[in-house]
Amino acid sequence: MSFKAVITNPEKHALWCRILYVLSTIDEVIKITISDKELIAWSINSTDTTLCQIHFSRQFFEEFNFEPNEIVFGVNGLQSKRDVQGTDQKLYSFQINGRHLTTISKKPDNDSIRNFTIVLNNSSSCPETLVDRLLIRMEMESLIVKEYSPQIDPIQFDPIIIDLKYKSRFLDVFGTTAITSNANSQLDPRLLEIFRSIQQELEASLFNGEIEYGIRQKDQLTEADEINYICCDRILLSNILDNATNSITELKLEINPNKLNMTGFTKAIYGKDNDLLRNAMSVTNTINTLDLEHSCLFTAVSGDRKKVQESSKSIIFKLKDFKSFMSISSNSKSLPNNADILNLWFCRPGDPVLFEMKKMGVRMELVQTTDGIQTNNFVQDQNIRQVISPKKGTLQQETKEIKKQEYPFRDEAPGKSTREKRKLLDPNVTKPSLLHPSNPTPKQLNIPPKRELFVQDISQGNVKRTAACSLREEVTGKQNVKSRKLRAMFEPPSEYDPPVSQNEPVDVLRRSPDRNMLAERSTTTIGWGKTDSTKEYVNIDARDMLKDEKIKLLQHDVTELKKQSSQEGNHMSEFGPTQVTQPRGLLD
Amino acid sequence: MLLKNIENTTKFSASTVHLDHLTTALNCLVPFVKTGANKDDVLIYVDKDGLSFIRESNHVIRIQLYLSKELFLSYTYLNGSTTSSAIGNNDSEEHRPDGGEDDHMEICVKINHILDSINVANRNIDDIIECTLSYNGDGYPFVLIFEDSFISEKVEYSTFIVKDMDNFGLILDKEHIIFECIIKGDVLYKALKDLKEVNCKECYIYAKTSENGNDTFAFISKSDLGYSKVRLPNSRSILEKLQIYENDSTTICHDVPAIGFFDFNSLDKIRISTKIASKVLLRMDIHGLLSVNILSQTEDIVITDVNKVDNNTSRATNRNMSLPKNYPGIVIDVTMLEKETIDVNAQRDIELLMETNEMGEYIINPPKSIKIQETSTREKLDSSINLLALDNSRAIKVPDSNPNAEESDDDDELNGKQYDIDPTNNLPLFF
Repeated sequence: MSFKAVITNPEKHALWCRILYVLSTIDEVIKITISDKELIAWSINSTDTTLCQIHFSRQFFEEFNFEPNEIVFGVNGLQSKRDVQGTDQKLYSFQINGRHLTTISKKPDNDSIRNFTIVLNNSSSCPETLVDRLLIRMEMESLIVKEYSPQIDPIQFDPIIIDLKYKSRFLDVFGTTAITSNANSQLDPRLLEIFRSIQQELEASLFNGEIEYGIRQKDQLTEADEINYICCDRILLSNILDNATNSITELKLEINPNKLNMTGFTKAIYGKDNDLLRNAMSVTNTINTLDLEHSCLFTAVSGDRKKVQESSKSIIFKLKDFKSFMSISSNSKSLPNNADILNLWFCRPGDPVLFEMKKMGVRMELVQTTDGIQTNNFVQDQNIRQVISPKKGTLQQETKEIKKQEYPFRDEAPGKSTREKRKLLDPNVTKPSLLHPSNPTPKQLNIPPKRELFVQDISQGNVKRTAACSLREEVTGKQNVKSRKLRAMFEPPSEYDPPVSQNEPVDVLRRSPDRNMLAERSTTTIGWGKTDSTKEYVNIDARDMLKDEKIKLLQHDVTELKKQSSQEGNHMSEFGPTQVTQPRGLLD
Repeated sequence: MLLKNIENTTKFSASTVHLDHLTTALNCLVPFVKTGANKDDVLIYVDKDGLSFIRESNHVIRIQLYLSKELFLSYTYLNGSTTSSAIGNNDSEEHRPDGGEDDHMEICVKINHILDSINVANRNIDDIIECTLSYNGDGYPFVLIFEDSFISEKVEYSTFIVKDMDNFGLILDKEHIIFECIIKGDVLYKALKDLKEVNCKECYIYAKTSENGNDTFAFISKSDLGYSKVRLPNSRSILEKLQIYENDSTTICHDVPAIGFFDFNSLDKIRISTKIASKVLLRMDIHGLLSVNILSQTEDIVITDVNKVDNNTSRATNRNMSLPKNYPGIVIDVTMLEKETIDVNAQRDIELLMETNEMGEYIINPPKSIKIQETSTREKLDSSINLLALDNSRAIKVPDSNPNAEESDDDDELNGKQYDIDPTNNLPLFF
């Protein structure tokens, strides 16, 4: 016997089966590597665009024995790696037909599994007929014993360590070492815990030697260092999958410090003569970033105070494999600790995105390439900074403080109002002048309380807004002078407005204070006066029983504006990913 | 009224309300009619004790499914000088030493057509449907009449010329059996289903006994996966009997495996039948012929059509129709030929395979010693006369499609005139 693993828990066996099934949907070959600590099962699809890698820790199995020294057959699967302590760790790797493995691991109907044993016997005691065969034995409740011996093919393990690279970069950029002790104290302890566990994971990994640490100037983040991190409940992402029909093929995640947009979409296909072969379709879920566990965004902050852009990160990837990956942990009973937490790392569009889930001692990772169409170029930005989600527990307090500083500078409200605002800023849009007279300021003042429903945090800050101005300027001055570490401040997500607009980066970039563009509508109304959202108009209508002609005119204008903005506003995911392929917001 | 007429004028008529049961039974035939010449053709063999459905395909596999006349509310069989009816039926009356051609009728029909009709009629779940089968001899159609409270439906099926079924080589050589096994039907069904799922192509049946009671009965599948083993439980409640003989049906030997090698497509045909089986008797003779006797219990009939299971079980309770008490259940007899006789090398491979444990290591075996136990014919006969240990151990005759082959079979036994040397030759032993 060279390797033996036993599963007796039916739930674990079910997880094992689901994982194997998902792996077999990615590629017909599943590769397995056994080490003393874990069993890694992974597969990469034929076009090298999807990689799914599952780490079954030793503890996942009731029994786990690995005796690489006894292996005498199929030795080309043997490898040895030097671990952190300097001792050699043996690995044994092989590949196996995924469909077969799935079939024979499956629990039959009307019966359940009492004992599931995986054995690899390439030792000298192995009969000739069982060389290079994986022995799978299942004892059923019905007392039937099934033994299978699928063929394996020993291979060398060539680890794809995107996960480790991302994690080390993540630590490098956001981790405790990268952030001043001052800022550090403000971080959510749970986030710190994540840093620690990742750190440990990296150190324990056998393959960390291959991570290339880019030579980077201290205190200087460059575009190449970009990494973004989202940590949330799995449900949030699986909701969009539930909403998406089968015809939806792609998923777009778009996150800015305030909100996360998830858009499932499919592009239209036209045949000859412009026949519509497939309809375009899109479905979007939007959630507040406060509902995420954590988020760490890598962003360049800049901007003219008067020209503010909504900054967001977006990636687009194929839905299919992600969907099956998410199905691994679906419909399972609630489990303790991290059962349903999904970690997500991504860089620039075109770079792979990494998903990670942990469950019952199994670490599941999915790496998918993303569409590289959009270019999120920071260009020569010196003001690259990190945005880290706030500590959950103390959220209220902190946000208040920060709001004092930043409130006045929020230029955009979420949703439609932002779009309109952008329009207003845009020289191409001639309409705004009409709007201004129509919105009486007193009415705007009345509006904020109603809006609190939508954006609570900010509304709290409203009162102190005016006082905050001076403070903010101080801060910004410091920030400009100070080193990168200082800039890597901890701030609640709502404060930051990383520049969404890739097209006009440089001028905007210098001003760090202006990154706080997203916010509440109340602030928006003040900053930009009369140009706010249609809702305001609606309010006006409701209140003023005597509408005058002007207002009607205005409404008309607004709708026109909306139409225009929906066509032009590429930033806004509401408008359909089908248009995303167009170059981004010239107007921005 | 209508029924009366039929009874008076037709040579054969039988009526039943147990359409579910009829469907269940006939579905067992379906896998056998999918291949071979004259695809749908099934021979119905009628005599005074019941109906047999017989199908042989490609001369390598043959099924005979017997429905006893107790299933039917009324059963009339009148042919030539022989008269029999459900009422006042007397077993000894009709026996003729020459085996008499008049003793039975043969009807060749398309079984799928009949199944379809029954399924359609059975869709009416609000009412009890009485189904009457009738046939009036050569040249007449086979007739089904469905009657519920309001409607009477009559369906006629063309019958075809009965070709002689050549059973040569498909009859178990009862004097040269190499192994014999009785196992619970549901377990066998699960095993066959597992084999099906791993896409089994060829299948070995492996049986080995040992003195200490550690018997092994297993299927070994040969497929893309390589060899897979499905060991059936050897507890006595499931594997009720397993015996290996030394070619002569009488000498028991231990520690010597008996191995049969079958095309899984053939073996898989009995899967549906085993699903309704309570017990299955497997016997294989020295010529590589496997005989499978399947007995279904009347109580827990499972409808083979999966989609209809719920439907039908609830319906059965609604109608509160239990099958007649003295009805012995569906009796199925399948014989199939080995794919090929396995050679020494293959046999050794299989033995080696079975002797490795789950760790992929050889089990250290004590040196093989063949221990032969002599049992007297008589003793064995006693032990096997009620093989399945059923309470209801009455004799049921299973008609054979080839009466010439078993001329002396039918009633001799019942009259105690003559016993075959091997007592397991007749299905009645089931009961």
